[in-house]
Amino acid sequence: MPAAANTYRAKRRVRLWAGAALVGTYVLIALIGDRLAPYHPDEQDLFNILGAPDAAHWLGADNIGRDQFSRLLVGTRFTLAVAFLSVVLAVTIGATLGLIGGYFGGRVDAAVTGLVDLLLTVPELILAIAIASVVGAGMTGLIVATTASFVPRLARLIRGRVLEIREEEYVQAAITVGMSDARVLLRHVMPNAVTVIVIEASLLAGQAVLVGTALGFLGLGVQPPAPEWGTMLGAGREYLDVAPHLVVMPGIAISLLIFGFNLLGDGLRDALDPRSRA
Amino acid sequence: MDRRSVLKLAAGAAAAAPLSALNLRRAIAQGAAGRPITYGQSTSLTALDPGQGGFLNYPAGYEAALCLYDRLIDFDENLRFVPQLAESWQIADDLKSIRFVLRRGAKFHDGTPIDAAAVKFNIERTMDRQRTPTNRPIWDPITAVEAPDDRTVIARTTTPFSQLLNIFAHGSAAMVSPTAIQRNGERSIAQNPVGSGPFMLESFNPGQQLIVKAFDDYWGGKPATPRITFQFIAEAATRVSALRTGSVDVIDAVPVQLIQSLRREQNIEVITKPGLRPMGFVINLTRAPYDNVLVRRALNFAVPVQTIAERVFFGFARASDSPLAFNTRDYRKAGDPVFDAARARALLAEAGWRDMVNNVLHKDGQPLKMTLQTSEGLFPGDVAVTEIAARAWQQIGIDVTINKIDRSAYWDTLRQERANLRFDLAMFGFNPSNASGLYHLESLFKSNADDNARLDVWNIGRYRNARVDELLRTANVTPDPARQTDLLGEAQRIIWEDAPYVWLQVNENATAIKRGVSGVELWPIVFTSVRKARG
Repeated sequence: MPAAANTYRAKRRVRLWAGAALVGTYVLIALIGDRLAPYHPDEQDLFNILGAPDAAHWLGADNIGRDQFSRLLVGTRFTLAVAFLSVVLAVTIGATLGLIGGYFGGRVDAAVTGLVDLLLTVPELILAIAIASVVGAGMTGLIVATTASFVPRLARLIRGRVLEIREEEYVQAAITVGMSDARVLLRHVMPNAVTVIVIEASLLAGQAVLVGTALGFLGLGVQPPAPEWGTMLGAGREYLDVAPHLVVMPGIAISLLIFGFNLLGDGLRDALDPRSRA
Repeated sequence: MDRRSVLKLAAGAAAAAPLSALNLRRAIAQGAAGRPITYGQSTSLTALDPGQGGFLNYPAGYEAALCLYDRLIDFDENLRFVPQLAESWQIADDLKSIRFVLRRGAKFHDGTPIDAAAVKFNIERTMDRQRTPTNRPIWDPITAVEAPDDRTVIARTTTPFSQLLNIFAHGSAAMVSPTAIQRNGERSIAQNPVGSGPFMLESFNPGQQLIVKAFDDYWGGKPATPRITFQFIAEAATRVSALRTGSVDVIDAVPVQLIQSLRREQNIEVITKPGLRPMGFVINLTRAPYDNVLVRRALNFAVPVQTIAERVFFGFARASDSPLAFNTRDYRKAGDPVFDAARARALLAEAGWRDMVNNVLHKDGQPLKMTLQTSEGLFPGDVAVTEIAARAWQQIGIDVTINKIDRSAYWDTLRQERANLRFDLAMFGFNPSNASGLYHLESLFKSNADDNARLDVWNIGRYRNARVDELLRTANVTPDPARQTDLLGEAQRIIWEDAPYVWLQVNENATAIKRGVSGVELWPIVFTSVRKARG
């Protein structure tokens, strides 16, 4: 049924593009959000505390009368920065560990696997909270905590892929002709593991948004008055009864971004992974 | 409805009948003795020993202690002194001793009598600085205790001390059974308290739940309710839902934004009462430029405190006009909470901060910076008020960085040696838990013995004014209450002028109660007292 197969493929492509468009919009807002914002994100109007959405404040005002729309726009950069940086760092560290463990095997592998398994016994969010409380509130704390919570999962995934690739004939051939380990890793193993890494990274970005904002919600995020979404959500929950917009709006912003990353990740997997293409 | 389901219904009703009769009987029985009460507390109970460092996690410990322990003197809900274990007392004219006559027939929960020896034992236990390091300003003056006969106790000081009654009404003056300490050890009381209050321990799960049951032999008669559960519920929204659904009968620390809507609900009653804790930012006086009084006054003029009280706290707060709260004993108005940004700028200019570069004032090429420390959820509206103040100071040219500290670590950051203070200003509020203005002023503004060391009490900013020290010392040895009020009024005026704080607001406390539950008291010192509650 070629027609049906084509529709299926087109649907999958829609997912990829929808995800890319959504994430792209957020990236754009992160870059120029402060210019789009109708108010300064810290500007307070103490006579409009908890103001409901209206013409002057599209998404209402917060507990000290700041324009929530402007804060959400400007806050995009914190959440995206945490997501991108932590994923890049986690991929770098996780891939290095995974490549080394998977390729060299033996004691090196045992050490890497041991460490990874140990960290995997702690749920990601709990690990992130523990690290964030040690590092302290701030962007660095958020990024370190989010990164560290993802490293074990990536290391394990990549190690698995490398174990497969290592047994491939072309890799064995390269080793046999005396190619150096570094060269084999970079020229033959790494390129074949990239697909897995890219797909996992785009899916992890959504997860990173979730972990980052959860830390903010718990009071471990950036320092006030920075308009970080999780912190805004956390501050707004006290007013859920009287000003639900303070919880709903950041909630939607966070959910849409995660949705975008998930669509993008799924789309990329469909497009890049040869096994799901069949 | 078919025949089978009718039969089922009938069978169900038949089975339920004896049960409901039983319930009815139980209800009648409980009506006589009252129903058990559950109190959803905003702070957790971790230790219950009045000695050994006191009740941790204010005010939870003191609230439980009101049920578990008696003191010689009690407070009523307006913080007037009323007899408890002492039937009467007499203060010597020279203010150097107080003589108590004990009540007859009072017993500890283990059945042992409360005689003069037991009281002496307890006072000496709390006097011991090593054993009880907290609340020292009220305990240090006591130098000797005597028990001339079974029912008489005399406590002595070497210098005259006008707060003798406040000492023995303070929560830390709770009486513990000496027999229990001898039998179970010093450390046992924190988890296994044996006092003489109207309720005795049933079970204690530190950090979560305490259950106390009525003490049948209580000298004041059996309490109105058979059992009280103290349930720790950290989240305000959760506490409110628990009250709405009826799983708790009383909650404390109701968020101000919910008071109006809760008051409209038929089954809930909200009581509010102005507190005795003036909130403020304590200023680290050991660092430039905050050692300059002009700069400190400028900071005070720049914050719109009246608007904060009215708007952020929905009118359930009042802007401070003295270092003491409005209802504290010996309070006197010391100034006006004025918001005047122009005057703030003029004062900063007078202090030499004139050059504005990129919206930040500079003096001799140095920018005017501030590290502003706040807690989150420890004080009412702490982060919001800090953000407002920070914005206000930014607008007069100060480069403010907010440093939010986790509530569990917050007290420790304030109690550091001088070299380890990491802030220029930090949010702080002191609650005089014995209602004495003198105790409040001494705790916050009496010079530390050594400004480089850790704090003696709560003089965090290292305030030092010889005249204030002298006024406080004189007030302590003055028997005439009117004269004492004058001395403390003068001290409040001087402290206000020196501006070692950015004074903010005095909040009202709010407690919500399920309708039908009576006898719950809200004390101005934040305590919600359930010991007289009736379900």
